[in-house]
Amino acid sequence: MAGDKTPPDRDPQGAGAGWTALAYLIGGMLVWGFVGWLVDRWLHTGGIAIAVGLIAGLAGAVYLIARRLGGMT
Amino acid sequence: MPILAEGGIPFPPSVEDFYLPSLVEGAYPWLTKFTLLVWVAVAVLIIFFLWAYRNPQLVPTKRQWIAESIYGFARDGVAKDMIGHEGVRFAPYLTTLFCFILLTNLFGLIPLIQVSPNSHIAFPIVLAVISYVLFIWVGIRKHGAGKFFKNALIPPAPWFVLPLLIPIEFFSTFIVRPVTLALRLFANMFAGHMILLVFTLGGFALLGANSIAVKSVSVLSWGMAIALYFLEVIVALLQAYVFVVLTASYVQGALADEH
Amino acid sequence: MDYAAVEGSLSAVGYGLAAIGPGIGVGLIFAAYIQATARQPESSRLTIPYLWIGFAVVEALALLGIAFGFVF
Repeated sequence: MAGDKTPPDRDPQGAGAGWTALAYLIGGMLVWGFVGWLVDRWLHTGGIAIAVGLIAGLAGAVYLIARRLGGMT
Repeated sequence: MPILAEGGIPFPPSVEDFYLPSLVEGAYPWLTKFTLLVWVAVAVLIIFFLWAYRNPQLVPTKRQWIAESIYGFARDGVAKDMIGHEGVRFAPYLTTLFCFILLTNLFGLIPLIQVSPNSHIAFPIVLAVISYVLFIWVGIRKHGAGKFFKNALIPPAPWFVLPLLIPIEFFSTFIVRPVTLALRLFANMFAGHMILLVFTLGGFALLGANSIAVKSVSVLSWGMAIALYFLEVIVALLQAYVFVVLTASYVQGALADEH
Repeated sequence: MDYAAVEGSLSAVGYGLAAIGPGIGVGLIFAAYIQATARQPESSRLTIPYLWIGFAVVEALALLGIAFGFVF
């Protein structure tokens, strides 16, 4: 496939894709887990807010991975 | 002070072993072996490429061919492949980055030098910061600041899930990228050096034991050290390549046009 | 009176158990991708999105395992 330039999309393929997936997963959990931890300290829910934050971050991260790296037609 | 095992061997090795003393007694605490090695690496690269291009000819001499191969690998294999036709602009920086990281990584494997400046977090941090500023600068210069951050932070999603996604995008693009670039290089070099220290010094520590059975295990320890040495060569090459490829990938992401 | 007691870090044991499933899952996903590419190399470009989505969803459970060890 000579001359087949990669299409100008924002998604990293190859080496970047695996790290991007991991970065989204861990980053999402960290960011929203931290927010959940702050909410937990504020509302004294005893850990439930952290769990909600973690799961929300995870859902967001999986959604982002599906959008960015799942270039389905 | 390193903890000494029996027989005065500094085993097990610890993080303290990586804080080297100054080369000048009592003054210039920043002038350690690491500083000297970085200067030597820079000097070697400058002198090599200047000397290789002394009299460039159409049919290259051997030293010109080596320099051209290195540059060609970085330009064709990395810059053009990942960034596209605009990548030639970045090929000199990527070549220099690759050669510098490779040279400093390999310093950890040359006898009598035996430590890589990249096993101190400071040097990978600087390299990662340069790559970080580079891809943001390039993106802002091409698209304008507002459009660049809008493209980078707002994913294609319905408006009501955007508040959930934008912090994740910000964290993963502007915080995770430079941190992992630096941390990946540092951790590989630090851990590699540590493991070589463990097996080499462990062999000597085992040799100081009393029973002959334990003494003979030290040969196994040194055998492992030799095997891991070859692994470290592969890791040195690979980490330099991965750093450069990821930098090129981030630049490509910053330069890419929106759909 | 305790009939049975577990001492030490229960969170670490919990994470160890939680990592069994995702470990097998990630292995299955990548094995499927490798097999599909081996049978028909042209399909590698088409199936790579599914690779990353599948990996993300499975790895999410493993990361939840380690995170909940610290939370609860």
